[in-house]
Amino acid sequence: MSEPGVSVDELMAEIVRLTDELAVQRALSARAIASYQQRALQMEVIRQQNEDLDRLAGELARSKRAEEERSRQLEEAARLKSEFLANFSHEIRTPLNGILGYCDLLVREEGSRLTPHGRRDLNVIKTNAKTLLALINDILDLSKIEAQRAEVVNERVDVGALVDECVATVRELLKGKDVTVGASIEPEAGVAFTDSLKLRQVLLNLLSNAAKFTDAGEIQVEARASGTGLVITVEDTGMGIAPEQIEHVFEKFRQVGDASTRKVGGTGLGLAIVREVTRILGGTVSVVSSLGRGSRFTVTLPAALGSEAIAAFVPARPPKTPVPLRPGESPLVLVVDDDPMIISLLKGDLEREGFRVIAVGDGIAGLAAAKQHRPSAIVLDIHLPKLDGWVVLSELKGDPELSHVPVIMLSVEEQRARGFSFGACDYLVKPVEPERLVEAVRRNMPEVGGSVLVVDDDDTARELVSRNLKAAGFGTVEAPDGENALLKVRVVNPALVVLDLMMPKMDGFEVLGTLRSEGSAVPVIVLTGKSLEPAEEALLKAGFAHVVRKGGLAIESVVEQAKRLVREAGAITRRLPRVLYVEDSPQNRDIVRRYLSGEFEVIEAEDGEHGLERAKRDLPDLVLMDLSLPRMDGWETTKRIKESARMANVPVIALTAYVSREDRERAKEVGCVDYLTKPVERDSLLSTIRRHLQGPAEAPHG
Amino acid sequence: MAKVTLETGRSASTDPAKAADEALASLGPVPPKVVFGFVPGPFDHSAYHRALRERLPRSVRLCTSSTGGEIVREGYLTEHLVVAGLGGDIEVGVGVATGLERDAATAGAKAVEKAASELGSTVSGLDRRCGAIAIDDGFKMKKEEMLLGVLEKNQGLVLVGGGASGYEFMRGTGWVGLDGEVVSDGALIMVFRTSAPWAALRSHWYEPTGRTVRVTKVDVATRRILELDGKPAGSRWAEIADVPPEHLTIAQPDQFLRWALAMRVGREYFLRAISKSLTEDVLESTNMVQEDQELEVMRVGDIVASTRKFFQEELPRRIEKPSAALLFDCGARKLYAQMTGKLDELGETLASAPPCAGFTVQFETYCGFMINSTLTSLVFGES
Repeated sequence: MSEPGVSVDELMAEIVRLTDELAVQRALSARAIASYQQRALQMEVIRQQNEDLDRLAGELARSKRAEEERSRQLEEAARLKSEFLANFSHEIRTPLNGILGYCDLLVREEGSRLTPHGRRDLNVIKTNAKTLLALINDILDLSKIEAQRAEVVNERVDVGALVDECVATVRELLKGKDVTVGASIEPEAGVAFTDSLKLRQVLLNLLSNAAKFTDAGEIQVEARASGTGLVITVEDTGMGIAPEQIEHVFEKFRQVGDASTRKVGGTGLGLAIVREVTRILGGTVSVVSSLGRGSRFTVTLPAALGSEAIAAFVPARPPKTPVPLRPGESPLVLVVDDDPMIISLLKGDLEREGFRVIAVGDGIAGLAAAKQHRPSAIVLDIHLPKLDGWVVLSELKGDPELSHVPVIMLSVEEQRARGFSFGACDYLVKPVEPERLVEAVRRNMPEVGGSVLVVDDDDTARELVSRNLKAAGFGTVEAPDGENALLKVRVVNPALVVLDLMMPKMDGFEVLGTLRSEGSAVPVIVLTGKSLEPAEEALLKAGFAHVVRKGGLAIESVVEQAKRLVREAGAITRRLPRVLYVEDSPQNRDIVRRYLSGEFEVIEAEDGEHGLERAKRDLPDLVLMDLSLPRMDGWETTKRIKESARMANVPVIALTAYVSREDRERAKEVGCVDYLTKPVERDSLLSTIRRHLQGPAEAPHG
Repeated sequence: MAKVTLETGRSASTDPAKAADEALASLGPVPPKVVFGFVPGPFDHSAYHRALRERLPRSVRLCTSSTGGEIVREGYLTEHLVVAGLGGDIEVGVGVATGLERDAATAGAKAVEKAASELGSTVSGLDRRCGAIAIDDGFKMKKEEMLLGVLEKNQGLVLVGGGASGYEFMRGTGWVGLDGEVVSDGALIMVFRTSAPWAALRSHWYEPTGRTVRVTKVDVATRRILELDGKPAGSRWAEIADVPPEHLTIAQPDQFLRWALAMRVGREYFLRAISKSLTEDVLESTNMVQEDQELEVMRVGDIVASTRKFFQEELPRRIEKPSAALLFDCGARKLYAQMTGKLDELGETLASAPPCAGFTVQFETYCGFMINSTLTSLVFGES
């Protein structure tokens, strides 16, 4: 452009061209920037949308947090309410328990010295206390159901027995009225699978209601099957319910017919409880009624008769297992309760029935006493100083030496399901009738070395022997003749037979001969008034029978002989095979312990090192080994067990949650003879153990 | 649980060393990841930058900027060195853009690339945990071109900032410095990455009138509006504002700031400050404008109330537990507050802000836009 020879016109033309080009370039730049800005605008819209989404997500998160907080507060409120209910329940029931208990004691022990006026006053106190207790129980039951804290314990229920019990109770209410109570149970409805206590509560409430509103006529209970459902009807010939009131009968605090209700009393909670309890049992309740003619309430529990449910039922309570007792000695019951009044009442009730009782006031002392005295049964409260009842129960069930001692929980709180899951054999709620407590202790008390079969055709003599043996702690079975005796021997396998000689049809000689010819080695005491011929004496001697002459101190002699013979028999009883279970989870140990209870002696260790130590010390007959263990894993522990000359032959079965082939191989390599994976079924576990012990429940190492 | 923290310090000393000592003394014992130094425009920027750098551990990055006034939680300051240490759960990378006048786009692209690389990433690899701060020499008016380069490879990158400024209105040189290097005609591009919650937020005190105008003719440089709604732009603007044309010139800032145009994007308004030319019947825009663009007519509202609402309501709504804020406040806001006697009151609204520091800027940057008359902020929080 600046070269010589270029004209001004050419320069001007070049300037114009460059100016135009610059303008084009600038316009292009501006358009590029505009285009970029458009994209930026679009990005901004997207950014705003993202922001909206973020905000929405934030609001959702906040809302979720708020919801969680509300839920937490509700849970906290429910917890506080439950806590309050538990405290309330405890604080109210405890003094009521005392009132009722001391009323009983007063009547029993001082009854003859009380004036008629005093006895009447005492009865008034007791009646009022029971009314108050019933009212409190009703309110607490409803609160518990509303708080969704009501527990259902499904179990095998003898419907007939339950109905009979309820009918017997309600008969007391009908004293002085011209009302008959009848019950009819279809055979198909004889056994149900439901919560017996709750079903009892429903039935008692319906029957009490019927009793209240029926002055004359009858009350009829029927239980029948409807498919797999259980249908129970309670029908009365009472005053009935007006049609306009029938829809309200199951409402809380609502009583039909104000005037009549005032006459019969009540809070109006009974039928509300019936409806709620039936509901949590999975059923329904309905009513049909005709004013002036009576009412019929129908409770339907679908599937309560399902045979599969009943068949599959495994009792929550551990099976009753024998605890070695000294034959003939009164069974010892340990009572653990911090209330001196309760202790005093329980001691009175139990000692009167022939039990020896020791009592302590806190959980730690309870455990110590259990270890020191090895009681035959323990009655345990929940609210205890130092260590609460749940911990005590757990400790007892975790101690191989004490785990077989039956524990009966006795508390103002109704927590049966928890009690059974922790290993209690029974659960009673305070206040408890003395008879009920004694019955529960007796029912769960281990028998003294088995039962004694008393064979005598004389009812009076048989009963006398039986009662004395029972007083000495034996269980007894009776047979009125020889044939029946042989049958009972086969069925109940008694520890001892007390045999009369002179009986019709089949005499004692023949019974003894048959027993021995059938190979039975059961000890036999012959209790006879007969003068024995030498040949007869020889027969008895050949049959290894011990002879006690009737008359004088014969009964005492029978008891003494029985104690000796059962003790001797007990001494030669072979011990249960010992199984060491090495597992760090207390829950798993509890399950397996309960599975093996009664079949094997179970000792436990919670880690590998402890497992090895126990194996060396206690020489188990078999080891169940978890593989994932603290301190030393199951493979290493097994390997070390197998390296020990003393334990090399002890079979070790892996019981683990590991399912891979590699883990199985490793277990096999270190010496495990079998491999079971969790969760393991009881039958499978038992059969595997037995297979490796080479015989059912026998101790290969003697 | 992630959290970004901010600690601040300040000094009124005119001796750079003493000022640096005093200001840094207020920072806590735990070294921050980066220290921002806001140096008053008239001060010797290099001297203050050097004094700060000499007193900070090598691991702590130093970014400085000249200001048109300094901002702390206690209010608006003048002639104070303000430092802000950003720490906690945050990583930073910084690049310097130089030669904005020559090629702002390329300078921006290179700076952001450097910053991203310090975080071990490419620009396009920066994810939603990452954002950017841009502090440019505001007087060069090259924000939009620079943003072309910065966002070229990642248009989704959220970027906020403002122009390094001075104490004179619309005149001067903006200085920025990074770890010993101080430049004008340049910019700092800082990229951060954090797991803590964060957001870029804006607040202005204009309200939409519901009226719109259409840009019908612009000059070649796209910064002068020749016609609005097909009429000479200056007259048309005076007609819309219903004020004499001279009220819309920069000679009367308290008047011309009462009106603005805005580009509506989604639900938000991006302000486009305009003033009438002193000599011609045209409007001068700080932004590039396009023909056939529709803009909203905005009228000034209550600057104090809107700012208070921003800190008390809008900010906590976006960041539930705010723990740190960097503020880039437009010079026009400070000017308007001063002229209407509301600067102290405006400063008091900062008490509602989370721990914060910032400065009066020469125009603001928000994502892909150069914006005006806006308090732009980068807020961090705690998860």
